[in-house]
Amino acid sequence: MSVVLAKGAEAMLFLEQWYGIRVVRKHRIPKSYRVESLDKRLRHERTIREARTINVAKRAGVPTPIIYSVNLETATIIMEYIEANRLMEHLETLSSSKQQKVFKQIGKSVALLHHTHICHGDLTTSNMLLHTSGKVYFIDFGLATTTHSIEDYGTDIHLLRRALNSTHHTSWRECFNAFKDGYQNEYGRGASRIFRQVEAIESRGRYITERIR
Amino acid sequence: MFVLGIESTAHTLGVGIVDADGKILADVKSVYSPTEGGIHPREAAEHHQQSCLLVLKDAMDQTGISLRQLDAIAFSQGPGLPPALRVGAVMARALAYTLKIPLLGVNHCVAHVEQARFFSKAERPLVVYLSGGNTQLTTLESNRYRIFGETLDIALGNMLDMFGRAAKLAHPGGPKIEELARKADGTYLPLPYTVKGMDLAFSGLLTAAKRLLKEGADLVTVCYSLQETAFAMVTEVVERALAHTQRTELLVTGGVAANKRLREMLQIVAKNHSARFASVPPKYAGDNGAMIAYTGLLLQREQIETPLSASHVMPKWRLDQVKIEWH
Repeated sequence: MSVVLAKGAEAMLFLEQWYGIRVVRKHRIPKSYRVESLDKRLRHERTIREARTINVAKRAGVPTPIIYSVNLETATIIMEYIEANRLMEHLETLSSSKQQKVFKQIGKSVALLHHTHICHGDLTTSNMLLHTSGKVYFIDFGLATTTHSIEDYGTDIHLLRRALNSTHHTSWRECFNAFKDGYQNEYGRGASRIFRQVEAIESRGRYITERIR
Repeated sequence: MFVLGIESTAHTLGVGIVDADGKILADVKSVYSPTEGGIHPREAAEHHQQSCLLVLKDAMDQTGISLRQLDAIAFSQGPGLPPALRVGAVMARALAYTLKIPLLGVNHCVAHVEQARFFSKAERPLVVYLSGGNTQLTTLESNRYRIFGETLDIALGNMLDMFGRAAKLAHPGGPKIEELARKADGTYLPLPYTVKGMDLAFSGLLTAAKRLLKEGADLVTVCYSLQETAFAMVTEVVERALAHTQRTELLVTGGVAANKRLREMLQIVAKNHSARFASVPPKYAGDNGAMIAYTGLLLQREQIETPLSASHVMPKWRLDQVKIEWH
């Protein structure tokens, strides 16, 4: 039994039975538009990164799926199936106070990641799952990096702000503020330095006067 | 109704005229090309000053209407090189003031997007805007072009031009690189690949490609590897944005949209996500006055005029700062 769960940009996700348990098989499919050697390099690299960082993130206390098996030849990962909704479609259905609670938690998790020197690399609401328990799971660590530079942590936060601003433009400000709260509480000293770096990164972009905030 | 549009953000001084339906009656341009190096802002402005009246006259002659018959003057108010922008602004103010007709300040990026939408008739596209100065993924959502991804450092076209200069190719480098890359035998040299979510960075790629040249690598092979890497990055973020926004139309615009290899890659991605692929006609991929005139027409319909006192140029005016009252 194999059901297509989702078709992402990089990978196909299948819901399957595996030794008697329900699992997700994530297969990074070859892309015909790019040179073969580049394609292989990227899929190989990202499969390793994802498997490795998900485990580290889990140990740091960030909710992530359990990795069961990795096949580098086919760029496939078998992982725990989490019965939850993608935050992207679900965020607008939540009350404002619930939204802020969720983002406070996301802030805490991202701070935990950064404390463990992990950058997620693609923090959008399509990569977060909201469980009925209220827990937010992080998925898709294919672009994650291990890093000690606040420039990278800043980029991570900048990407989240960008994603909120473009996808959830009605409530993004409150959500981002809640995120900031959660992040600062968990990260403690040094958090303000990282948020200053976010400003620096954004001011370096093309044609910046003052962004609409 | 006739709207005249003036474009002067970078190397192109263009004048276009459209009628009430957006039909292009004239589109004339004069392009400054540096003898060596990139665009020198002052020299570009001098070129624009010298050519603007000739271009204006040419455009008017093509339409056969007189200046008195014009209903509004649109000009690109930004973003762009300040000295170059000022030439177009001065010209527009003078015309609007003498003819006593409305002045319309147009955002150059919005104009590229609007013109592409006009030609493609796309309803709700994901727009990819790739040029010498911009690399952006955007969709219209609640009266604003929301930016989903963009470059964190230099623009795609800018990167190609800078590599072209390092390789001593004539300006603009993009088309030359494309030509050379087509002759490649398929040998691919690994280069840095920088994608951050839906954002991109090209400076590391540029440095590495220049270093390959310096180390004596074959120019054709480097051009090929550079194009393949840069375009794969763009295509990947486009694919991510398509999956994220679930849009069913992909629209490509800007100068780099003329590149055949890039279009081929984007077409594959569009097909994989069952999205319709559309691209601005190559003739209008680059900067032109007609797109300013057309966007001016849209502003004029909504009666969004720019008073003289607010007609200063805005060199850093972003796409997402403009409130879109039409559509």
